[in-house]
Amino acid sequence: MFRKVLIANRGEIAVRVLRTLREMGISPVAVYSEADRAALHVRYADEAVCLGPAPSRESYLDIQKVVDAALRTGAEAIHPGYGFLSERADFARACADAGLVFIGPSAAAIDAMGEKTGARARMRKAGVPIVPGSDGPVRDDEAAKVAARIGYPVLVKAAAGGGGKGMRFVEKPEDLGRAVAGARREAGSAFGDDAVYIEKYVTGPRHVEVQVLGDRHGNVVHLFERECSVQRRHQKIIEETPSCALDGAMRARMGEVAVRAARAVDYEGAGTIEFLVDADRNFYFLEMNTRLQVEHPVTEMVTGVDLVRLQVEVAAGAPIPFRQEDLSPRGHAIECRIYAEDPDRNFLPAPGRIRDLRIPGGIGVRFDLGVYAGAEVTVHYDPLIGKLIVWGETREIAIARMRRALGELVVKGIRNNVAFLDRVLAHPRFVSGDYDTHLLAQGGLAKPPETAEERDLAIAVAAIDAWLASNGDGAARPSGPAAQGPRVAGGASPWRLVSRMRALRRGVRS
Amino acid sequence: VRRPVETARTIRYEVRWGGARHAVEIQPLEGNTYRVYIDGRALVLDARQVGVGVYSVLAGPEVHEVDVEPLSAEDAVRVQIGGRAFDVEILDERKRRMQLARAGGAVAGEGSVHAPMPGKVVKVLVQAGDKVRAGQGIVVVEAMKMENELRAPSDGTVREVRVSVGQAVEIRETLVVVE
Repeated sequence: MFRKVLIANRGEIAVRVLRTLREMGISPVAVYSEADRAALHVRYADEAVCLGPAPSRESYLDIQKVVDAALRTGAEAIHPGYGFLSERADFARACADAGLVFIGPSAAAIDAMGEKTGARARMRKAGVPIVPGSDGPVRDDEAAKVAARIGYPVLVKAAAGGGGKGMRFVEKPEDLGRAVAGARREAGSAFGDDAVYIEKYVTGPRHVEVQVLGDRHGNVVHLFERECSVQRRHQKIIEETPSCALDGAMRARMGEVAVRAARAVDYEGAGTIEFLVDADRNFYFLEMNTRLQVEHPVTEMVTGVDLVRLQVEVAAGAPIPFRQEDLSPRGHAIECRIYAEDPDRNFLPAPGRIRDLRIPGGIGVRFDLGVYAGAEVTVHYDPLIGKLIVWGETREIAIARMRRALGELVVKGIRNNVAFLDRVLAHPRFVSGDYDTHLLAQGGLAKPPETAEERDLAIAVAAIDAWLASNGDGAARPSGPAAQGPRVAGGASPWRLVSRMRALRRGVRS
Repeated sequence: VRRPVETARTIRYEVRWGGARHAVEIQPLEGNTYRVYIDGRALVLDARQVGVGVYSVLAGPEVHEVDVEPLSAEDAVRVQIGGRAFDVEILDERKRRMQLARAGGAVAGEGSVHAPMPGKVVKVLVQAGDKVRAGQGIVVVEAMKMENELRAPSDGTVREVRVSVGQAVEIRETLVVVE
C-alpha cells in the first residue's frame, strides 16, 4: 500500500479523500492555490504545496505543477477528486510518465469515454442502449438533415462536454442553426474543442446513474443506482438512492448494462455510467464519468463501503474485496448540496466570508464539508460549501431526517440554498417520488411570504440584538462559549450612558 | 445580590421590512426577558444570547432559534429563523431622526425645531420675526461628522432663536421656536 498520496483537489472532496487516506495510515499531501492557503484541506493535511495564483488554470489545472508537487514531497500516487484534472487523460499519462500512480482509470479508458460520440459508438457496439442521434460530430451543413431524421425536439451537445456546458435544446428546425453555433462557441471555450453532436431529446427524462468499480484483475461490479433528477440549470442539487423509477428487475438490468459498459473499456477504479430513463422506463446510456462523483456518499450510505478506500486499494493493485452477490443496498439515502448561492435570484453565486456555521448531527447524518466558520468562499471556484447526507430505513424517514438536519444547519455571512432545499424536499412531487429533471423548472418553489409570527419574532429579536449591541458594550457580545452565562438586562449602567454621551460630545467638538 | 432592573427604561426603534415601517419599543425586564411592542402589539420574549448573534428565544413555552448578523449596508441586519432569512433595517431613535433631518423631513412638534441628536450648531439660517414655510431650512447641526439641515415642520413665524453658531446641543433640545 502507498505511504503517501497527494490530493490534486480542494474543497469538500479534498477533505473527503484526505479523511480516508488518514484512516488507511497513508500520509495525505494537499496542494493549494494562493487563495486557499487557509482552506480546510490544507489545515487537515500532513504536507501542503502551493501551486500558484488563485485562477485554476495557474494552479489546480497545471499538470506540471501538480506532478512536481508529488515528486517533491515523495508521494507515490495522486488522487484527482472530481472536476479539475480528474478526467484528463493527459494528466493520467503525465502521472505514469513521472512514475506516479494515478488513482483512477487508465488514460485509454478516459479517452474512450471522454469523447462523447466515440463513447456512444463503442457502447452501441457493446450492446448498450443509447439515445438515438448522430453517429459522430456533425458539420453545420448536415445538422438539419440529422435532426430531421431523428425527429424534433433534439439536443445539440458538445462532443467533449459534460455538466450542461455546450448544450442546447431545440424544438423547431428554424432554431437549429443558432443552437449549433451557440453550442459550438460554448464548447470551444469550455473544452477547447467545438465539435458537437445531435441527440434525440427524451421527454419526461429522469437522470439515473449506476456506480461501477473495476480492478486490474478483470473484476467489475456495480454498486446500484443514484437518482439525480433534481437539477437546476443542468446541475444536480439533490440525489438519492434507490431511485423511485426502478424496480428490482430494472435495477438488475441497468446494473448489468453498466458493468458491460465498463468492461468495454477495461475500466479500472470507480466510475459512473449515466443513463436517461424516459417516461416509459426505457433507459439509455448517456455518458460515463471516469472519476468519483460528487454524490458518491449516498451509495456509501446504503452499501456500507468506502468508495475512496476502494479506489486507493484498487489503484495499488488489490482485487475488489467482494463479489457482486455480496452487495445488497439497505435503506434509503439522500444528499443535498449546500451551495453559496441565492435561489431567489436565479441561483446567483454568493461568495463571501462564512461568519458562522453550525453543522447538524444526530442519527443517520453525515456532513462532508470543505469550509469552516471564518473561511472565505471565493469567486475562483465552485460555490459548493458542503454536502449534507442522510440515511434512513425508508425513503419517508430519510426525507424527514434530511428536513430535520437542514433545520439544524445554519450558515451565516453568505447567501445559501438551505431553505430552498427544504422547499424541494417538501414539494408534493418530490415526496411522491414521481418527478423528472423538470421538477425545479415547474415552479411552486418560490420563497413563500413570511408568517405574521415569523415577522414579529424577527423584528423583536433584531431590536433586542440592536439594543444589546449598543448598551452592553462587549458584555452583550459574547465571544465564545465561556461568555454565554446569564446576563442582567439593561447592561448599560447610567454611568456608562453618561460617559457615552460625553464621548459623543467630545467627538463633535473636536 | 440582585441588581436593580431598569424596568422603566423603554428603547424605541424603527424596523423597516420591505416597504413597511414598524414602530418597536423594548422594555428590558428581568434576566433575559424583554417586553417588545411591535406597532402596539406586546410580546414577552426570553431571549438568551448563546453565541455571537445567536439567540435561543422562548415565547411562552415556544422555543425558537434566531440568528442575527449585520449586513454590509449600515443599519441592515439579516435575521434567520429555521433556515429562512429576512433582511431588515433597524434604526434607533437618533438614527431615525438623523435620517429624517437629512431627508429634510419634519422633526417633532408644535412648529418648533428640535435637535434630533446631540451635536454642534454650525449655521443658523433665520432670525426672530422671520416668516418661514414648511420645509424651509432653519438650523444646520453637525453630528457624527455630518451636517444636518433641520427644517421647519410647518408654516409660521420665528418667535425665538435659542442657539448660536458653535453651541453644543442636546438631543431633543429646542433650537428655534416657530409658531
